Amino acid sequence: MSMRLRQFSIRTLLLFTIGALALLTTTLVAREVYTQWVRLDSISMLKEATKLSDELFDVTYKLSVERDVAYSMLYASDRKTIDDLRTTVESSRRDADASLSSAYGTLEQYRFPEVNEILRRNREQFTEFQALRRQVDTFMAASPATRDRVLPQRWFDQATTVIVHTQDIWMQFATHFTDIDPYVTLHMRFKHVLGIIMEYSGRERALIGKLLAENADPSPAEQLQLLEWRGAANLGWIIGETLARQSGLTPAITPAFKDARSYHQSVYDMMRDIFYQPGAHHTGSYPISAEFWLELATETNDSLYALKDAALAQSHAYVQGLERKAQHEIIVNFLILLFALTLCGYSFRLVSRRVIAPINAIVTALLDAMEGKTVSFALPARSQQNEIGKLAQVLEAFQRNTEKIRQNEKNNAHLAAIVESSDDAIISKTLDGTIVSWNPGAEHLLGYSSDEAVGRHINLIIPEERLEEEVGIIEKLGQNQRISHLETVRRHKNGRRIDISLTVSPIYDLAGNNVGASKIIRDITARKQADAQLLNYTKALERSNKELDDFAYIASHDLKEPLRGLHNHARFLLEDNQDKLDAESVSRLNRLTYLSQRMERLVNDLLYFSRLGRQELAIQTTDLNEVVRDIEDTLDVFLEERHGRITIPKPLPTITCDKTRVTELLRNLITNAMKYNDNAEKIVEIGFLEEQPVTGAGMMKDVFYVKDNGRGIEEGFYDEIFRIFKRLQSNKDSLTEGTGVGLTFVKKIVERHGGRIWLASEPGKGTIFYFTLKGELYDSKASA
Amino acid sequence: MTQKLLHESQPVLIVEDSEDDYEAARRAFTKANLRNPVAHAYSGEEALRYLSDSGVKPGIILLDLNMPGLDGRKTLELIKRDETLKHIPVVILTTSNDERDVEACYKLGANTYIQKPVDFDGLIAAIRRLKEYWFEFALLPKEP
Repeated sequence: MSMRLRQFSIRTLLLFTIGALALLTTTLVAREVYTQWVRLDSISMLKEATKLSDELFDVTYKLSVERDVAYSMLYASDRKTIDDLRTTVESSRRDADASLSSAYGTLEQYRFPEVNEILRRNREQFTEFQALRRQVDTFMAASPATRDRVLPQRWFDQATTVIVHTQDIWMQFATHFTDIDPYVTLHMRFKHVLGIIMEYSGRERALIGKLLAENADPSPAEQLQLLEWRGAANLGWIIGETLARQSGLTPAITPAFKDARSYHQSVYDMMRDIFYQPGAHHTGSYPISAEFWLELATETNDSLYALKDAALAQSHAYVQGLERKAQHEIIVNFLILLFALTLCGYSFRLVSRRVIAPINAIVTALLDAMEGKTVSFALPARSQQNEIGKLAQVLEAFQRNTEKIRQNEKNNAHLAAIVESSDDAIISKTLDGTIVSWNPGAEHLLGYSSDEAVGRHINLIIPEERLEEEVGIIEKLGQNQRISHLETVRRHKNGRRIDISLTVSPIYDLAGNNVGASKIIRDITARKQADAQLLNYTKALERSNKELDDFAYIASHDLKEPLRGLHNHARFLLEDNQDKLDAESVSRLNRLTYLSQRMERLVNDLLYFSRLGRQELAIQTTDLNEVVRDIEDTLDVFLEERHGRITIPKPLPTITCDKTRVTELLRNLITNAMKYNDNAEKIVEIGFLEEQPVTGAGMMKDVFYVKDNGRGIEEGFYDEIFRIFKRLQSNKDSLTEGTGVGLTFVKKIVERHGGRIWLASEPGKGTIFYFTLKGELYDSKASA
Repeated sequence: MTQKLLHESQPVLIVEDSEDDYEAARRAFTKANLRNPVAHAYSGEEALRYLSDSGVKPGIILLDLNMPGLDGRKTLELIKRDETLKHIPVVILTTSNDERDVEACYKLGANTYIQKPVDFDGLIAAIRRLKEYWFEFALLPKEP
């Protein structure tokens, strides 16, 4: 049991644990998927942001070009230079506007409050910047004498402000993506740094361009400015290199980086002696025109632009990688999620099926059982090898017991009804003899009501002289024996003794302990009276038989004595007075002697018949063939005289019977067959049949028959022939003729053996007598 | 030593209450040429008295069974118990042919049991056979 409990606990715990883990995993992975999803979204935002940062870079680039070219132009003196520069200014102004409006439009979509604040200010400054543009145009259209001397510097400052602010926007925008991916932010910073480098080199370009356009030597202040800018740009290169390395861009952008930097350096190298040497000045005109310089400087910027593009491409590739990775992770996590969900669902389904559903079924069954419904025992859980299965089995057993109890209650009601309605007294008592129950039958039979009897001792109904008997009964009950139909006497309330038949059985409790006894008492007064009556009848019959015997005895002696006297006197009269008597007297006296003789034979037959009825049969093993041979011997003369013959077609069996009587039986049948036969040759056949139908009474086994070829008997006389002294032929008044008792003796002998005799006859052809004997057939084969 | 035969001079005692039967027996004796003297007792008591009083003991006793007073059975029993009388052959001559009577008499020591035929010729034949047996063939023990 405890082993099974452990099994159950471990298995179910495992199931629960798996389910819980799966659920936890599901939650975690789902969160991860969500995160990944958000990240993917962020990454796509990042892509957009990268694009925007590129645009902003473009804006600063274009603005820078416009500023520088316009600045140079403002200082140009000859018409040709101005015209050439104006073309460049105009194209760069268009480029810058296009970039700017595009970038600003994109930027507004992000709704970053502080970025938008900067953007708003930037727009204001851009408006001022545009006003300056118009002033620049007016300026250029005016004659050199009326030109505003302050404008160029205002223009330069304002343009620079716009550029720097644009870069600020960019910086501020980039901070929003730091969390998404540090590398991409670094990439943006790198580009920002490139923008700074470009801007500072732009300033160089602008100032050098102005000096070239003016054909003027740099003032010390201007020289300082140039060096400062160059330093800032160089610092940018150093920072940019670091950023490139940190952000992992280095390998991909190294060639472009080297190109741009060496270009920047070579331009510096070219211009160092002309403008950067302290106190540098020139005579006549510079070796390069402003236009050429601007072209050269712009090419520097172009190389920077190429570097920026390389970084951008790399960054772009990186972001795409991030995106792919995030997508993969989402797919993988999604699969994990699916698996975990399935596992979770499966384990919970198992738990549900193995634990919850069976418990539900059990609870439902219990509730039904409580409501008294008959509950199906086919609880699904009972085959489980655990506590729930056990519980289901126990519940089933419980329910079966409940059913049994219900059935028992029903049976008990039936039994109680039977006990109530029984005419017999049914009493139960404890081991010490206290009466516990007392049915109406007991009330009726013994006179005490149930209230009077219950609680009293059983001796209440036992007569004093029978108390010993009760001790014996208790002893027997102690040995768990039952007392059946003990005929004894009990006492009625009124003291009368009642003949009863008593059956006492031990009563056991559920644990099998003998706790008492039940008594069934049947009133046998009527039967006792009947028995007594029967005994009286039997005695009367015996007396009557004795009287009959006495009568027979008296008949044999006292009737015959006067008869003998009658006969003797007739004889003496004849002898003594022969010569004195006439012929008629002699004849009458002879007749008298004859009649007395006949009378004697009748009396003898009657006596013999009565003796046949009362004498015991002397049963012995008898060979019937021998019996028939003996009869043939004794009837030798009789048969010879009548030309009679006895035939036995098949040897007869050996049986047990009263040999003397059966001999007499057969002799009577044989002599009868010979007597009532007119054929010249009188044939009697004696045989044995395994079975033979009895006329009008079915079949009998082991049947003997005696068949003759005599006169036959009319069917109407079949019964009469067996009657005593009944002869069908007229009395021939001959002493050789029988008295008509032969067949009566035959029937009596057959009946004494417990057999039956019947016949079949055809007048003129012959008769067959069939008979059976009680004698047991032990050898159906002939012995002779 | 055995006594050879009953002698013709030895009396025959007939115990018979019926005068008719006694006469029939006497006549049958004559028919059978049995010439011995015949003593007649009408009852058992008379027979016993005769047996004790008379000097000459009868050679054979013919005893009827059904008699008033001391009946044949009792008489037979007393004769056969008496040392001086028990050697005398007793022939039961009675009407009864009941097996119980026959068996009882032989048990009590009767020597022959003859049923009285109603037919007188039958009686003569019976007496003739009796004479042949008891007076010609049978050997008797010597008288004490």
